[in-house]
Amino acid sequence: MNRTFACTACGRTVREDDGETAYLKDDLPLCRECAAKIRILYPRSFTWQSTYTESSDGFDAGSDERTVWVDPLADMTMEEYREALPAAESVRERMRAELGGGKAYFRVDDNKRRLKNAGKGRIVPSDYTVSGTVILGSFTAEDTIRVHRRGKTLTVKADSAERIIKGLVPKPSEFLDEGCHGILVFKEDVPFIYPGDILEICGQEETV
Amino acid sequence: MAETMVVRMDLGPCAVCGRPAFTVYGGGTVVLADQAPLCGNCVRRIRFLYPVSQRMQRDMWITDDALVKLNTEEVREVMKTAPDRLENLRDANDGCDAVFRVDQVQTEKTGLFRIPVLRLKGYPLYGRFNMGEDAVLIHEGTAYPVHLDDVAGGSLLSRAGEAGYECTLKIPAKGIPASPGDTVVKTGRQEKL
Repeated sequence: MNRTFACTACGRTVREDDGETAYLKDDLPLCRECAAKIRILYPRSFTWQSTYTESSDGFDAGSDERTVWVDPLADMTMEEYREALPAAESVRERMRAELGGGKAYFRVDDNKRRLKNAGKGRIVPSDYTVSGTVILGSFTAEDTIRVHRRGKTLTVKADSAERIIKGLVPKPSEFLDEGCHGILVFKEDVPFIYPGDILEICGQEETV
Repeated sequence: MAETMVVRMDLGPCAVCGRPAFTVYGGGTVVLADQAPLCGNCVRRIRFLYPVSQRMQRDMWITDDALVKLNTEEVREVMKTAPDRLENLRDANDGCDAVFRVDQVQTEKTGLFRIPVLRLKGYPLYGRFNMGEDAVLIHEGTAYPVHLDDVAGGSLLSRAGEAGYECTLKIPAKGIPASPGDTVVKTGRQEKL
């Protein structure tokens, strides 16, 4: 059963199991939009966690290894959240002065080609993907991406975008907002994008 | 009464980006000289400058990683200069998207009437080589277009060769000469740059 809550900050209705709801200290729910306001300071990150259960007889009663998302907002009170809002805004202004006037900026963690199972034990290459984090702003998959290379600029366009919300399985999404881990999917090859690159996202009307 | 223990499988926050640095499931974390962990994403950004090599010692493979000799401050400095050094490498290689240096060549016969396969063992200097892609083998100044049938050993979770890790490219050997010292390059979309 999906329970719904009112966001503590804005009062908007949020669902319990949508994976986007952040919880402050004392389990106060925070909707995605309100959490995204300070994600620039407190981004989510994932790690692996091992669970080992030992029975009363001392035998192994089951073990499990799974990904868990670490959310720094879980240790914050509502007062700390309100205090973090102007701090996040000043960081945003500073980063925008450093990076430039783009709509959003995406830091690349990895670039790889997906593989798919073609049946009969054959594995064939599929789409080209670039994974990383949105470090400033938010954007949609239709926006144009600029790659800067020593005075030259290359313009590419992603075919779709995916967000990683729960676990490590990405889900298609229309947009990627600040602080979120996402994947840009390209039908064409983009081997000129390397780990560590910062991609500039410009609006659709600014297509070069 | 059953007792449950929950243990986080990371080495703590990364010394540069602060994200959890885990070694399991392809995490790729490196512990630096000052015992601070460096997560796989940060390692990937500078690995092309510090390739991993393996050598045989007393019937055991020893992995040599120059990155573990650096401390956190040195890694931060390297990360600042890494994009420029990558651009220098690209300029030195005519702007190619990825370059692979061939160290060893083996010919594998796959069947009586089948085309033999060349196994090119070496290091990607930068960029990434994925299975199923087209590339160009440069042998004694002549370019031969090749198709990468398979890439092995470069990446734990995908059939790809990452910069700084030894890997093997498998290409059809029909009419293609190859010898140690050759390069395999990916030219990509350079005409648009």
